[in-house]
Amino acid sequence: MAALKHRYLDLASMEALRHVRLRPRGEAEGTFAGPHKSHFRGTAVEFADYREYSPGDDIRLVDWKVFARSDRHYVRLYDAERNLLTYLVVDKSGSMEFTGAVKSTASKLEYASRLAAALGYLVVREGDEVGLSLADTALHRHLPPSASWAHLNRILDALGQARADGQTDLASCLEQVFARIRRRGVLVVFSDFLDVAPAFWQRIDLFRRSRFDVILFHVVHPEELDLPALAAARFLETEGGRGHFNAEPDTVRGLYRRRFDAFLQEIKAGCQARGCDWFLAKTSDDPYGFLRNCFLEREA
Amino acid sequence: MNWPAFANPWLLVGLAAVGLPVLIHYLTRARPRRVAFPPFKFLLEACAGQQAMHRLRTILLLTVRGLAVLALVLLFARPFVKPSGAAANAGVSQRVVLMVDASLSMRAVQRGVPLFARAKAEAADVLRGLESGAEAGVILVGATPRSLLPALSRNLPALHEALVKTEPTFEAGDFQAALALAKRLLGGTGTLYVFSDFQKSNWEAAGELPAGVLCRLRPVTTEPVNNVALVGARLLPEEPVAGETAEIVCTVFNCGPRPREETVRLQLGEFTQERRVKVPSFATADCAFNVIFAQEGFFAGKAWLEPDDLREDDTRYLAVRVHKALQILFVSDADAGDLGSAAFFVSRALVPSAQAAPGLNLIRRHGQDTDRGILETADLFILVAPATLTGEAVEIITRRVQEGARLLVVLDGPTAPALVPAGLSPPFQLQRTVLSETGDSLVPGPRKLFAEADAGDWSAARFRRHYQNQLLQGRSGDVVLAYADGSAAVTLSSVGKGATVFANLALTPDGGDFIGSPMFPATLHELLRALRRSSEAREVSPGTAWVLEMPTPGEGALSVTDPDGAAMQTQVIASGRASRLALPAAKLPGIYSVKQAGAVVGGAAVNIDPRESDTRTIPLEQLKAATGAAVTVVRGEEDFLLAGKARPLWPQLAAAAAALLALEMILAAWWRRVPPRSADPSLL
Repeated sequence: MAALKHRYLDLASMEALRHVRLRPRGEAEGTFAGPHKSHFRGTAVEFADYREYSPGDDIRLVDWKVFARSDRHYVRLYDAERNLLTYLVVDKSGSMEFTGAVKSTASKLEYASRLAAALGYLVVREGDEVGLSLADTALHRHLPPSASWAHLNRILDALGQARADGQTDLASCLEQVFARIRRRGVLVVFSDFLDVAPAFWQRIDLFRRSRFDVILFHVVHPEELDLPALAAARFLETEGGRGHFNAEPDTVRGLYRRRFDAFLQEIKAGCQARGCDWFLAKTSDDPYGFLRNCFLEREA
Repeated sequence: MNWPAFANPWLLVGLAAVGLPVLIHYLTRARPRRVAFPPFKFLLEACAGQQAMHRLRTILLLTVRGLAVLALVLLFARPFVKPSGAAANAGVSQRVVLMVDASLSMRAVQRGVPLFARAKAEAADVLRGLESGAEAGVILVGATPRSLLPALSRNLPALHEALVKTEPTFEAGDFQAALALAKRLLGGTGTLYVFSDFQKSNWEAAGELPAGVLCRLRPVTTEPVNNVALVGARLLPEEPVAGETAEIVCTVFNCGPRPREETVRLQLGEFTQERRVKVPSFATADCAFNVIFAQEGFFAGKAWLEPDDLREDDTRYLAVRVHKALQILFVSDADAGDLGSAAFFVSRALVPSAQAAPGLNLIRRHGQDTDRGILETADLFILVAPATLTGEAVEIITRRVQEGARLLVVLDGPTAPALVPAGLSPPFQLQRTVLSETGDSLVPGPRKLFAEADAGDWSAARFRRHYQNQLLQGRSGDVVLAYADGSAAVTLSSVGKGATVFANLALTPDGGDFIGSPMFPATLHELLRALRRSSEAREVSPGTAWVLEMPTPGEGALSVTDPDGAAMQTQVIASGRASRLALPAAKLPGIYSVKQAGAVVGGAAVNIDPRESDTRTIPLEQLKAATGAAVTVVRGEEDFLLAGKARPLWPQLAAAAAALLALEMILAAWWRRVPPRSADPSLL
C-alpha cells in the first residue's frame, strides 16, 4: 500500500468501515479478474456451461470425460469473476461551498470529498478500480478507473484541489462521463442536486439501461433542512445569481421546510423509480458512520 | 354635534407619541445578516407573497399600536363633546354661577387630593364646557362669600384663570350669604352649581336654595372625612396673675365613627407638656394642663394633635396675658375685728394669708370710704352686707362692671337691697324678708359651678336666709344654687363685658352652718374663678374683622403683625390705659403680635372656627329648595359632565384603547409563533 495521508482520509476513523464492502447489484465488468460476478466466461471455479470445441480454444478446457462418452470435443465454460469499476462523480459547483450561517460545519464539497475519498479507499482496498470526475457545468478532472494506491492518491489530490465555484450542469457532466467509460460498474454521484432537471433523469436512465449500479449521495447542510436561527437575514442566491430575499426566518420557516421536503421527496422518488440508491447526507453527521449505515442499508 | 373639546388640552402634545411605535420598530428591528443560501429558489418559491404579507402585517401591527397610543393620549386629555346649540338647553345653561366651597374643611385631603382641588377642577370643567356667549360667575364661599368677578361675565377664559388661582381659606363658610349672592348674580334664572363637601355645620343655616334656578349640587367627596380636631384651648382664669395656678383646658373633638385616643401636646412659654385623652366617637373630651406663670407679661403658645386628613384644625393657639396681681376691693361696713360678721368669713375664706392666695391683693374699705381712685383701678368688687355705698360708688361700680370688671355681692341683712343696683340687671327681685328657723337647704341650679366630675354637694348645709326673691323672666339659666321654694341663692350673670355674682346667703354663724363647711371656701373660690372667666366669647376666627384690646404699657404707636410676620392695617379706636385696635379679617390662624417700639407687648390668638372641624355632611335631601328651584344631586363624574351638557368620550376611548392593545397582543402572538421544526422522518 502506498503511503496514504490526506486531509480527506482519516484512516483511524475508517476502522468503522473495516468490514464494509461495496458490492454491485449487477455484474461487474472490470478489466481484471476480481471477486465480483461477471457476465464474461473465464477461468473461475464456478462452472457455467459446455460448448463444442472450436479451433483456438484452450485444449486445457476440453472435458475429456465427455469426449470419452460421446467421442466429441466439448470445452467446459466457467463464469469469469471480474473486479468492480466504480465511477465517482463529485459536484463542485458554487452551491457546494455552503458551510452554514449559524451552525457552521464542513462545506458540502468538503463533506462530499470525504465521502468520495472513503469510498475510493474501500474500493481500492478490495482490488477494484475507482475513477473520479469533478463536475460543475462540465467535467474538470476525469481520472479513469484504476485499482492502484497511487491512483487513489491522485484521486485524493484531485479532491483536495477542488474548489467550489461556478454553476451546475450535472446532466451534461454525466453525459460526458458516460461517453468516456467503456465498461459498466457503479456510478456514485455526490451532489446537492439543486439543479435537477428532466435531462438529469435521462442521463441516469442512460446509466441504468447500461446496467450501471447508481448511487446518489444527496449532500445537504442542516441549515438547508431548517432555516438558520436568525432574527433577520438577507438570503443571497449562489452560483452567480444576484437575487436576494430579506426575511425573518422564523416567519417563513414552515413554508420553506415544506417546499424543501417536497424537493427531497422528488429526488428520492425519482431514484426509487429507477432502482437507484439515494442517501441523504447531512454535513453535520460523521461521514464514516454515515457510510457504514448506507452500506448496511444497501446490503439489507 | 360639535368637535370634541378637551379637559386637559395640554396633554395633546402627547400625540407626538403616535409615531413612537414606528420609531421603536425601526430602531429595534434586527439587522439582516447576509447568507449565501444554495436552496435560494426554494425559499423564493415557498415564500412567494410572504414578503408582502409580512410587510402588511408589520404595517398593520404598527398601525394598531399607533392607534392604541392615540387612544391613550386622547383618553388622558379627557375629551368631551358639547352638543350643538340647538340641542342645548340654552335658556337655562347660558347663565351659570359656580359656587365653590372654600371653607377650611375643603382643605381635607382624601386619597392625596385636597377636596378644594377637586372642587376647583370640576368647576373648571364646567366652565370649559360652557358655550361661548354664556354668562358665568364664580362665588368663593368663605366667612364672607365673594364673587371672582363683580357680575356674570362672558369672558370665560378670564373667569377660568381667576378660578384656577383661588386657594381655600381658613374660614367657616357662610352659605346663606353665598346663596343670596348667587341669587343676586343670576337674577332669578339660570343654573347654580354648588361644589362643596356639604358640611352639616355650615349648611344647616344656609336657608333655602334660590327660587327659579336650576341647582346642581355636586358633593366633592362621597366618603366621610374622619377628623380629630382640637376645637378648644381655654385658660382658666383667662387672665391669670403671676404665681397663681392656672389651668389650660383643651377640648378634642372626634368626628369619626370609632373612639380614639389622642395625645395633646402643649407648648406655652417655657411649659411643654402632653396628655393622653380618650375621645368617644362624634363627641368631645377635655384634658387639662396646670401651669403657673412666675411673672407677669405676654405669653404665646399652642396646643396640638398629631396631624390627620384635615391638619389645619389640629392646632390651637393661645395668647396669655399674665397680670401682676388681681386688685380686689372688698367693701363692707362691718369692722375688720368683728369676728362674727359675714365680711370676716368671706375675706378669710378668700385670702387666708398672702402666701395662701398669691396674686390676690385684697383692699378692704367701708362703704362710705371708697375713693374714686380705688374704684377705677379695682378688678373685682366684693360687696358684703352690711354695706352702704355712696351713689357715686354705685355709679362707678356699675360702669366698671359694664366695661369688664367683676362684682360679687353677698346679700345678708337689712342693707342688702342697696347692693342690688338696677344698672347691673340682677336676675332676681328681692321680695320679702323671711327667716326660717330650721334653715333651708340648697339645690344646684341650671348653671354648673364645679366640673361635672366633682359637682359639689351643698345639701348638708342649712341657711337661715333673710330674703325670698323672684327670678326674672328668662334668667333661670343664671341660677347656680337655689332654695327649695325656688328663690335664687347664688346667681352668676354676664353684664356688659363683666360679670356679677349675687349670693343670697347668710354667711354668719347665726345664719347657718355653711361657713363651717369645707364647701364654703371652695364655693367662694369657684365663684371667683367663674367671675374671672370671660363674660363673652372672644374667640376670633379667620375671615371676620375683629377688635384687639390690650393694656397700653408705654408710649408709642402700636403695630400688629400676622403669624407670617406681615404688618396688618390697624385702626386705633380707643387709647388710654388700654387700647382698642380694629383689625381687618384675619386670614391665617395663629398668634397676632402687637408691637410697640419694636417690642412685643401683647397679642391675640386667632383660631379655626370649631364648626369647621365637624366634617359630618348634611343629607342633601334636607336642603330646602324655594318654590321654583329644581335641585339635582350630581354624584358621578359622568352625571356631572352630562349635567354640564358635555358628554365625556373617555369610556369609548378607554374601550378602544383596551381593544387595540388586546388586538395588538393577539396579532403579535399569532404572527410570531414559531412554526414546528419537525421534519419528515423518512427523509432523515
